[in-house]
Amino acid sequence: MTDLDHDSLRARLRAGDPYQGESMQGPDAARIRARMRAAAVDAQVRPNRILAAAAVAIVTVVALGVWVGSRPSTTEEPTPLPLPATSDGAAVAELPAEPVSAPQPPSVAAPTRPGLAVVHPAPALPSPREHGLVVIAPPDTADATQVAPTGNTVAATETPRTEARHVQFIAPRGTRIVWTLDPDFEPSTVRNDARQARHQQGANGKW
Amino acid sequence: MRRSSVSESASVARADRLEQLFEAYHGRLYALAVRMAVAGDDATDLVQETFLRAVGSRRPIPPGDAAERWLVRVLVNLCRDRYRRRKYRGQRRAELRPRRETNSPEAAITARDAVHGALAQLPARRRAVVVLRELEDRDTADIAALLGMTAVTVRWHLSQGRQQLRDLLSGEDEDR
Repeated sequence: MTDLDHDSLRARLRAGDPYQGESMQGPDAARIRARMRAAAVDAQVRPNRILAAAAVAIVTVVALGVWVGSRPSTTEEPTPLPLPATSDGAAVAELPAEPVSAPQPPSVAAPTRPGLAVVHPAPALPSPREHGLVVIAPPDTADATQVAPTGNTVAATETPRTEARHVQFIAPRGTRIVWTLDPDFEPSTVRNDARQARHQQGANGKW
Repeated sequence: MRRSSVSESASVARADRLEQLFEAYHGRLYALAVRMAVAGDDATDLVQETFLRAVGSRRPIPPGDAAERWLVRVLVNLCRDRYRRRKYRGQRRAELRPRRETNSPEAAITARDAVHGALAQLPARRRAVVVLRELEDRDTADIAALLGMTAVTVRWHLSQGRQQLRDLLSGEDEDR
């Protein structure tokens, strides 16, 4: 039978009908009824559970919002860092108006206009001590040549723009090293950085 | 409090109505489920799943004879979901066929297995159309109303299904 016509196909299907007139067993029908009852009860309870879960979520979000709103404002002025002292008690001079090696964060460089709130506090400039350096006074002051005998001590001289700058430090074995910086070969960015730092110090009222 | 009692009474009324529908149609749905079931499906489970879906549905239960159509559609969609899931899992078509007892001396069992296996290879909606038309003698309009499709679609499925069955059953005969 390679080519079934319509009637023979139907006869073939009916002869092999999977359903032989049996009916569902009684216990199966009873089990389905019981499960339908249970499912109906569950379907009635489910919306209440969803509502309860939604209420808990809303309360949590509101509580989080209140907590975040009640936190102290972040626009307070940071406390200035105390001036560090050297380990052997040697006095560290006041920082010059122009720090030599302090990096300048770009976000604090621009002064704020009056009436604008400062969103992020200006981070405190890192102490040169944190970099293992102690910056002491320029040579024209009284203690300009006083350096700590141990550690990397750097003396930077603030000189007029036309004069050479000197950086001196003592190596761990006591060798005293002096660098002379020729202003003609000093990149202009160093001067700009120094100018920015001076401006920033005036704005922050510290150092 | 009043609202909860109202919803509770509505839920009880829905459960009662579904129980009435179960009493009225479970035999007919069981016959359809036996014909629609493929290997691994149990007709009783299909009927149970159909009524559990009906319980969980948010739609109101249609009145009168429309309820029967609704339940048939739920059953066919259930079979379709299972068919798609098997197809997605990459189950081979040959595995969908029930195992043929080649040693059975009874030709009736062999013929039933062949028809069952051939029907199992049709997509669920097409299988439903063929079963309702060829085995339950429903007319095209009735099938269209039951399955929620147009008469043209029913005729197309019927034509395609018959052709597939011809090929499958002819192949079975050649293998024999």
